[in-house]
Amino acid sequence: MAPMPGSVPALEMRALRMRFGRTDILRGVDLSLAAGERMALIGPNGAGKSTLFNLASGSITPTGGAVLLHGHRIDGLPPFEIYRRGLSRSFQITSLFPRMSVFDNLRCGVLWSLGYRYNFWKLLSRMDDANSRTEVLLHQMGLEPWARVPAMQLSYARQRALEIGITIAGGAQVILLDEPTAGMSRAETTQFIALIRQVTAGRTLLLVEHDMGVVFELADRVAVLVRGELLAVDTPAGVRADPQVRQAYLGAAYSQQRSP
Amino acid sequence: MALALVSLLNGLSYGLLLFLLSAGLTLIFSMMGVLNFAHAGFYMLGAYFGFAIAGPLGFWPALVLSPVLVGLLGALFERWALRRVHPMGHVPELLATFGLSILLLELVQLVWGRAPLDFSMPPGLQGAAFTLVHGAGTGLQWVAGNPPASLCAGPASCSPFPMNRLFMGLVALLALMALWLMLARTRIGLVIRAAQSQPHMVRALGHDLPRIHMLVFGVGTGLAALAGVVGGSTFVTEPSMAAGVGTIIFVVVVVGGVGSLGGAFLASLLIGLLQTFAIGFDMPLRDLLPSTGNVLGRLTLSQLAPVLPYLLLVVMLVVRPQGLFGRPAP
Amino acid sequence: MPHRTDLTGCRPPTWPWVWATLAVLLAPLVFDSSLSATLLSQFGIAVIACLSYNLLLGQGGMLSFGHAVYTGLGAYLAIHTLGAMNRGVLLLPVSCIPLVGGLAGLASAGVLGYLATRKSGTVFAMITLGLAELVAAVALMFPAVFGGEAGVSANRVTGAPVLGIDFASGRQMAYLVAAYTLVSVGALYAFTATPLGRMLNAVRDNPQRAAFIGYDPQRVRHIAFAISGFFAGVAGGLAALAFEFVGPEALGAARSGTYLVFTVLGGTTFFFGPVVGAALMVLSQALLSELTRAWLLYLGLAFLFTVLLVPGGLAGLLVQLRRVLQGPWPLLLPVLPGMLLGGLLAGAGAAAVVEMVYHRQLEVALGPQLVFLGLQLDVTQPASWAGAGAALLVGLALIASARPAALRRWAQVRQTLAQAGTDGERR
Repeated sequence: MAPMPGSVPALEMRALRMRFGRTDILRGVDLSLAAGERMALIGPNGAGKSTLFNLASGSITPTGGAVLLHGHRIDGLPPFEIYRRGLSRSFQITSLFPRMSVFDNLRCGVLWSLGYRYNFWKLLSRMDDANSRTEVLLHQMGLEPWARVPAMQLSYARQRALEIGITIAGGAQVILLDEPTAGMSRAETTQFIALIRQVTAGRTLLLVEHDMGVVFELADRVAVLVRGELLAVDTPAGVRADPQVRQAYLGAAYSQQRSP
Repeated sequence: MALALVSLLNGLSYGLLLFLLSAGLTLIFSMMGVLNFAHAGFYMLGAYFGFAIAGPLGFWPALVLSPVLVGLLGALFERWALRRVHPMGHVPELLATFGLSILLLELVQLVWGRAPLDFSMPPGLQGAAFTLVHGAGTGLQWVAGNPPASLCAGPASCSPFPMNRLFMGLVALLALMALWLMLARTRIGLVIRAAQSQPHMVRALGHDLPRIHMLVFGVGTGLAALAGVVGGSTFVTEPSMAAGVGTIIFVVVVVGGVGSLGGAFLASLLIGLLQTFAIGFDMPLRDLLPSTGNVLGRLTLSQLAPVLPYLLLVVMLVVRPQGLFGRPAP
Repeated sequence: MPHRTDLTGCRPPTWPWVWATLAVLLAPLVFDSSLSATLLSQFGIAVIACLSYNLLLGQGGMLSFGHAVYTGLGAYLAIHTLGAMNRGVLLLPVSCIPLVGGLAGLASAGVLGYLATRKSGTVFAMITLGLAELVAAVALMFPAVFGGEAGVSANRVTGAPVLGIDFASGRQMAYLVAAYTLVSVGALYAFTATPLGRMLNAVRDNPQRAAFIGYDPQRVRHIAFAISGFFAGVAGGLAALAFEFVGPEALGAARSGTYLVFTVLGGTTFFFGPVVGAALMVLSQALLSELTRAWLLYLGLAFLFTVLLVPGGLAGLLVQLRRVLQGPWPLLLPVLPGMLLGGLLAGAGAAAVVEMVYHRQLEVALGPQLVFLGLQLDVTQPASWAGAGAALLVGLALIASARPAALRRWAQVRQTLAQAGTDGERR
């Protein structure tokens, strides 16, 4: 499901370079995601996946190349600007508002998209649109029983769910998920994949994953990043069969996975 | 001319004192991320302890013992108080050192009262180290010690450079050389420098990081106390001496750059000179910058002098918070 | 069960507000001496000042060392406005003067806050310190505006009385303060339940995440700083009216430090913590400083104690006490006598020593004797010192012996409380 020629890709990276000091982390990455496409980014540790995410979401500025969202350049913009243009990300290490309730965490996520901005004259309890949208999200993420619980008291898996919930709360069309199932058990992972598929339906998804099962379940295409360069971008089956990829990365991991 | 030279030396010696004070502060800040609000309080404590020890034992034992005692107290504070608040974040740490600064001030007043103390250097260090005599027609002369009164009479002007200031500058230089040697040449210095940028790695290598923190805090406060002994006996020993240097050393640390001893050195000298010279000038601003308006122009440089360091602080923090020589935060 | 201070989506219960309103409205009637009126006015002013400070510290995680700049500038603009009204140059209802102060606070916080909030954490604190020193030093350079060391005065009885109110009496002033206090407290409480208020908490706890949901953390902090400055200016304006005088200490570091110390003592993690802090402020400045010369020392000790061991402040302690009394207090009964008695003895002993030292230092002219807790002590008699020392040592020994058991039981109590439900902290 690569972008059709002539249509504007939802997310695009052109000749993306990143250098820290004298080390090249990313050496010219070209990647393109069509609207509604689900892509997984895999690669060994240190390949540059987190850096790619940070570049796309605005944490850092590339030393070369460009990142485009719906055809407009976003590289170098601060994170909040990129979010407002429709790209949202989750974090590998859960990043929530620990002292706030689950309900409040999610509600904060919907505020900007509903236009409330830096409003300090309207009471949150009176904002029916924000509250009902939050209720919907609570239901979607399966967190209703814990609505009033402070986020830091949730179990790890539920915190990960909340993390995703905050990420999608604002209705961003392009979602970046950073190892969403990190640290989860087999059972939790299976449930979580279904959840992710549900809540990101119709949106463009780029996710970093180490769990090949998740990759093959969710992804339309897979991009393999090794030492700052893309080795292959293809369907899961295609990537699995690619001899270069097998040699560089998939070999050991593949033999540990049961073939689906 | 002679006055300008002596003023220059005064400014430099004051700058050296500031450096002695801020070296400890910048070391603690870059090492532990804690801005020790009570640092000026340890300066004050050093002066008072120096006074208390010099009474029965004399000035020279006080010069050695006071910093050691205060350093020990500093290390204990780190151990029992700072370590406890460290996991709570930066704000509680700042609050803890702020609270300590109040406590130190009150305790000092409790024990020694509110009046200035007569703490001065021994007679051998009093008087003029040398005097610059600008005689009529004879040009500039350098006279060791105090010149005979006849030389200073009439059209000639004498500008003495006080011995205690010279001593103060020397002590500061020696202490800082010792510090530099320790950091650059000894094993513990190496560990300290490593822990500044990679604390986790240092810990992983088996070093006792909490103990290193305690050591650094103790050394830092000990240096402040040493500054207190020489500063208190040169200038004045009274409860308000802490407030007098408190914000200035923050300016030094910020301007010079977090973690940069070299930067702190330059910044201290700069600010020492700035303060010394600006206070001496009674010229209205209008004379310096003819374009300044009436209200602002009427102010003299000596009136503006107290404001300049704070202005520098704010500008630096907003424009370049890592200071002149620091590394930007990651 | 949502606790009463939890505002997530549920209406705050109204009973505490009704009682508070009644108390505030009736207080100036009940306590009608001029001293009481002054104290009540001071209390109301302190409440607004400390609440505005905690908007930054407790809700925003911003430690400001220069809050007095905004209360002070508000006070100065207010007193000058009042002076202009005295001279007949301006015509304004006296009751609007605090709003003038608020505007000064808002404007100055808006400008200076822009500089300060570009950074966060320790750098922010240092900027506020530098700005505070800068403003205080600049104020001394312009005696025409700030009155130099002598300050500026004006008369609050000016112009025609409105509805018979001319603010000549302290009681009328107290009522004005009460009105402003109620409105300010209500507004600040409501603020916590607005999008900006909630995002301020979010920026405090995780600024990175807040940015990734569309909010510029700097902007959030800046607007909050300006709002805090507005209420600080209102407090300053009320003070200018109440005392009809503003001096250079209004802008000074000591005043900023006072707001900081008492807000922390009151408790930064609860909305009503600063209210408790304001009460402590007024009480210690009025009463404690009369009782003992060592009050600043005690204050410093209490502050350090709070920062290190009781982060929730006095408000936090009260909330915990209430929860313990509602439930597992019998667990603590066996260790209470030992700890309480030990604490009291040690405290009394230490305080006696401190008082005697202070007396020797500062009150030599009054003779060697002083009264402490009803006892006659003599600084020249070893018996007094020995007695104080003994009380201290015995008290410490009692605490030491009761401590292990007390800690165990306290752990049990906390477990019971944790199982019973979540903390009622203002988030």
